[in-house]
Amino acid sequence: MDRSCLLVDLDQDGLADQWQEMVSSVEFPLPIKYVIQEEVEPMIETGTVVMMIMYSSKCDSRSACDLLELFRGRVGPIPHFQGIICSDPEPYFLTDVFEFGIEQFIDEGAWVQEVAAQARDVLATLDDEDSSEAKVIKLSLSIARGDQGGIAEAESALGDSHEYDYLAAYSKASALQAIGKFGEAADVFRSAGNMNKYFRPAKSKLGENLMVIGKTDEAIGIFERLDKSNPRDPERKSNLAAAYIEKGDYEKAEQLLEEARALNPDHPKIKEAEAQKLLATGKAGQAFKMMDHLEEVGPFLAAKLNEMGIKLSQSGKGKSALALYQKAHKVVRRELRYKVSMNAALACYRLKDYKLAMKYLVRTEKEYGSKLEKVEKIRAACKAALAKKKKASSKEAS
Amino acid sequence: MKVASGITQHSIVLCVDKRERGLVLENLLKKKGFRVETVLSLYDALKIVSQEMPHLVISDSILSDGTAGTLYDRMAQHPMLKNTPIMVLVAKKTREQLTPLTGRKFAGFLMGQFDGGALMAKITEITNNTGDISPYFVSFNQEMKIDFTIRVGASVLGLSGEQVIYKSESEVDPAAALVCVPSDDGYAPVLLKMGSNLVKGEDIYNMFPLGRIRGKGRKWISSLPSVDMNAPDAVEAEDASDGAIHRVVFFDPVQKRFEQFKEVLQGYNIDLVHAPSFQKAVQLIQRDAGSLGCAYFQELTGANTAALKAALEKIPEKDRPLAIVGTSSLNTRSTTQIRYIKKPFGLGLLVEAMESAFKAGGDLGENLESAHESANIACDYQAPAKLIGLDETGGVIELKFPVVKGNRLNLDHPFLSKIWEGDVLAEITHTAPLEGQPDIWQARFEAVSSKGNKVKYWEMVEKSLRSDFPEIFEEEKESA
Repeated sequence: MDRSCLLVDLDQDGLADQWQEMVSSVEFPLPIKYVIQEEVEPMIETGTVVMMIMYSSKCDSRSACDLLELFRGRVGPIPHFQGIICSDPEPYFLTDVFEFGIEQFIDEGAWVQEVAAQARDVLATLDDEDSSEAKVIKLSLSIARGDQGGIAEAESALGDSHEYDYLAAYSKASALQAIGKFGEAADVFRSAGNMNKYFRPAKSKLGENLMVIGKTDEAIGIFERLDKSNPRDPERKSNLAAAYIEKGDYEKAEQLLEEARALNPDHPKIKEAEAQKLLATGKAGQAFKMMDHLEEVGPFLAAKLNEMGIKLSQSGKGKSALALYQKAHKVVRRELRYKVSMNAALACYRLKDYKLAMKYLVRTEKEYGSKLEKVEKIRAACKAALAKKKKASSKEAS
Repeated sequence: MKVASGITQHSIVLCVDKRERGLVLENLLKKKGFRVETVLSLYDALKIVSQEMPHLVISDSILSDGTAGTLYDRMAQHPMLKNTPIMVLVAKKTREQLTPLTGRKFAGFLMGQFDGGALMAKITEITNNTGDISPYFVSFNQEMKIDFTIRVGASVLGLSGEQVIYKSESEVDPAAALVCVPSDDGYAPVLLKMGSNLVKGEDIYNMFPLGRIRGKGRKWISSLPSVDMNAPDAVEAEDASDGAIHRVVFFDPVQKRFEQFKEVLQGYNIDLVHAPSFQKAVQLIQRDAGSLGCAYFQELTGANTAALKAALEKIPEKDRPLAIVGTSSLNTRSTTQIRYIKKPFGLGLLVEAMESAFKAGGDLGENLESAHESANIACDYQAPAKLIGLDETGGVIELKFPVVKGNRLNLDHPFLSKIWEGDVLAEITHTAPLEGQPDIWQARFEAVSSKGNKVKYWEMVEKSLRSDFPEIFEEEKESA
């Protein structure tokens, strides 16, 4: 398998002219690709990136965190496969990237040798097929592609490593979250956080999953403890806001959203919480409009949207439910889409549009990657209804 | 073959006519990092060179019982010593002083009145011929550099908060990655990182943060009993600190950085007290020693390090806080009192270093006596290494991390086991990274079993090398 290391130039301050010459002076074990921030996503999409080093002498927290989020989601939650070249990082910057578990800082004067040494470690780890890291990357790739079959296969390849390895545990929990087992996911995220108390992503995700399963107070407790040691994370402020919206404390939620906006007004989680607030306060029309600005929506709001769709469908407002599902399908993360499609199929069934329901079921299976028991049941019901309809119409004709 | 700079301490035998001059020269050479033996006669010089195998001999032209020429001739007759460079100090260009030197290939001369600068320049010129290795050093070729294991005996005692406590034969470097292999197969191995040390009398304890431990054995590690006498009941996982606020003297001349760190570390129950100058930091440590968790210093000069050590020595041991120093230097090695963390560092590393300092400075040491009864799982710390070559007292190994100078390790190498008759214990004398390769470290070791006559030891080693690895000496013949 081709593997590469990204060297991301966040400063864009002359490195472009020098990096090749600098790197050529040492034996580099991985092909190194020089990119600017905008080029990271397409490079990661190629599926070859296993390591990412950012050159950020100016401590650009926001850009760094955006890229770390991307790496975590598409490559894997492996902090020691990433690093930041910055000789004198500000404590706030240290704190911001620590939310992703990043601790590897590299001196600007010796970065080539240090990065080469790190790359040797990365390569040696990945060459060991039994390493958690190799399995975690495979699983993350399946989750990012929403390939449920691949997720199940990669998750089973983890074996019992989640019992002793925090990265394996984090990844297993992410897999459970991707297949909708939020309660089990919460337990495994908790276990990952216990294994490495400094691995903050595990605790953040634990809070998110607790919210999905309705344990809002416990989630608030976790988010607040995390907020105490880093009050500058807009994502956590938004998650806390979402939790307070769930509890009906809109004033507290708005205060938290205000704090999140002050930190990063463009953070997608802020809009998610705002959309949730609109839904919770009965402003469905505005919420629909807001959804046009959302992307990569996480499990909590996805669950809320599914819940609302089901309510609409069950109360006879099937068309409104379908409109909601259409929007939701566009904005939720890939691995969560199959649920929206399945709910859309159910809404069609209730609307007695069985042919459309069958189309949604095909899409559900495609997104899930394999057969689903629930899909089979709905399909059987649709077929029976269609047969009945056909029988009735032929009877009518005769 | 690349050898890390400064890894070998060169040895000099100094033969002088007058004791006073010998003392001046000896002090000068020792300050420059050489190991020096001073003798006052030809007789003593011959005796000591045949025991010490020095890398260089510096001799007065005329000695009380002979001349540098006689010394040269006698050493030239000895197969082991014939290539040892000899440098001659000629006080006056008289016939008496110059005649004994004629017809002999001395490595260098220093004429006239003593000039320290000229002497050092000449010594550097001579020792540069062998570079960072002993002139006797036999380098192993690529095929002979087989991987072997270094090993340190240890036992796991238990947990103290988020730290796993071991008792071992050696201090560990925070940068080391060691595999803990229990003697009992029922316990799976674990990979240990970021260790720190606690020395109580003659006992050495190593602490490893639980969160950094990886491997299958983590399951049994996390179920070890607590060594804390007053361990809190079930601590909530999300906030596993003991809940107490720890005060830390924080020396950083940059106010903004201090303020940001203060805000950030408050969330970890760490209260920073600002010391804008080194002097202020020392004053605060001396004043509040008993109530401090630890002290942090943003870089320290050599002079300040010495001053800090002196200040800490004056504080009673039970109140003495551990000092953490953020440094960009690669050559600093942590001690029990001062722990260096390499800059730039991540937040977790700083918090973890502080938390282990709080543990070491707390009542952990007193609790450890009872811990011997609660859990005592025998194990070895192991790590892979390569043998780079051997010299008259030991040799050089290559590792992926630094080892602590002065510590003793078992080198499970088949050739060393053969020549040392199974006693593979070696003492680390120096350690340094290879230039431009921060993940490759070399350590010079001395065989504990080789203490004694170096010539006899080296004769035995050379004989074994010739028999087991004749190719080394074939290359030598070819180059000759």
